[in-house]
Amino acid sequence: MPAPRCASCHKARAALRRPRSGQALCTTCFCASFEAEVLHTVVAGRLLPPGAVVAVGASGGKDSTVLAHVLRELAPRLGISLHLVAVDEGIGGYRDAALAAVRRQAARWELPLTVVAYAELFGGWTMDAVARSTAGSGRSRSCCTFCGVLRRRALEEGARRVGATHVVTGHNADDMAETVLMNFLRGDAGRLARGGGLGSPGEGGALPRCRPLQLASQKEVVLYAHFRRLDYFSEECVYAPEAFRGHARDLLKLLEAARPSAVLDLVHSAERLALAPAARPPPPGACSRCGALASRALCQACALLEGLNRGRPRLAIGKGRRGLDEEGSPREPQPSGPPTSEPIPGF
Amino acid sequence: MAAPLSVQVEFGGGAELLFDGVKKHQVTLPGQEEPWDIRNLLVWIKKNLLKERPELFIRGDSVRPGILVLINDADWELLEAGWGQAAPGRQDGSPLLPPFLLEVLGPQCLQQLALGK
Repeated sequence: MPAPRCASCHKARAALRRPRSGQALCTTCFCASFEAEVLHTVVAGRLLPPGAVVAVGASGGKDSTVLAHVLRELAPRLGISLHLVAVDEGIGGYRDAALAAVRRQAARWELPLTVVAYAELFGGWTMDAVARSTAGSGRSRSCCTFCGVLRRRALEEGARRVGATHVVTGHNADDMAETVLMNFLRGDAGRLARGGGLGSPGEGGALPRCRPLQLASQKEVVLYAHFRRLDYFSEECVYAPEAFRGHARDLLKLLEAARPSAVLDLVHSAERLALAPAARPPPPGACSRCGALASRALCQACALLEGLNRGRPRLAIGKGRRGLDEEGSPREPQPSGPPTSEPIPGF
Repeated sequence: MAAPLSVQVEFGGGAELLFDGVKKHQVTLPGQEEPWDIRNLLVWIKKNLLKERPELFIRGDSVRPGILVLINDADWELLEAGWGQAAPGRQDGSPLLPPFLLEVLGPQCLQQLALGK
């Protein structure tokens, strides 16, 4: 069965169907449509105003590669400048290869690159060291819990160092949909409430963050990278990613096969949720140690590091934080779930 | 009765990890009774090229959800009218006609590999 003609230019053969509209497009029109959509996402949401200095979380993976490539194309039109920020978690072998990919990209795109290392920021704690520390506690996957929280903090720090006004990450629609599913399945009303919308305005002194690829499905990101022949690093982290997200992902893939727009529809549904008053999370305060946004006395990063430094890595993982001697008990009612964070899948 | 058929198969986006890291394969499918189509090409790939973890590549009659397949640079779902998981009743794919390039892109493979599933 020959491919239908492109619905946009009517000349070339179509290469794929866009999941949301079902429209058949050729590679050229698809790439143009993909880029136009990112532009629209940014402009309509006023995410990156003219003059913004944008720190791009760059992992070397397909999402951040596509993100950086597209933003670089759009930068003149948006009037923004870009700065790549890569996080070195200190995972031997794996991260070196990924960083090499980022360095190649920075050179090819002629963009400034800053690398921020866990070892430097977090008192010598590399992910290899964290993994060794948590391995003794019997659940090796919990090292991923640390990575998600610390990487967010590291990216923030890197952005500050380069004088950025905004932070962007490459989360795609699939990542967002998986997170929505996971939050529902775990009854995490607090995260559901915070998770919607295109970006965090940057409360508590944090830089505003957004995800310009949020409306692009993972399949489209992969195909865009493929058609544009982008060079990215496709090996996965050597430490097992959290099992639960894998289940959400499997479910999502099955749903998508039956109904291609399901991924985006799920994200849109979450954006339109309104929580019952009893479910709304309490307003956050400031971490007593570092001043960052926190819903308890210590922010997640400080709580996790405290556990590591005391030789009790699981101290801040799970529903309680016994032994951290935090001031005051959690506010009543307790709508939020555990203080753990799902590992954010790449940038 | 199908004559031997020359096909180029490329793996990318991480899928190559299941094939000893080799991305490009120029293969010659042997002559056989049944005409060659996508379905039996996939079976042939699984039997002759795949090095490990078949469950990460194939599920039932098709590729695992999340794996992308391109035929001559076009999404196979477009060509095969959603053959595979979206149209489970369909038995045969269209016959393969040269020139033929099959590309398999597999970001989903990776997470599963790391999970040790």
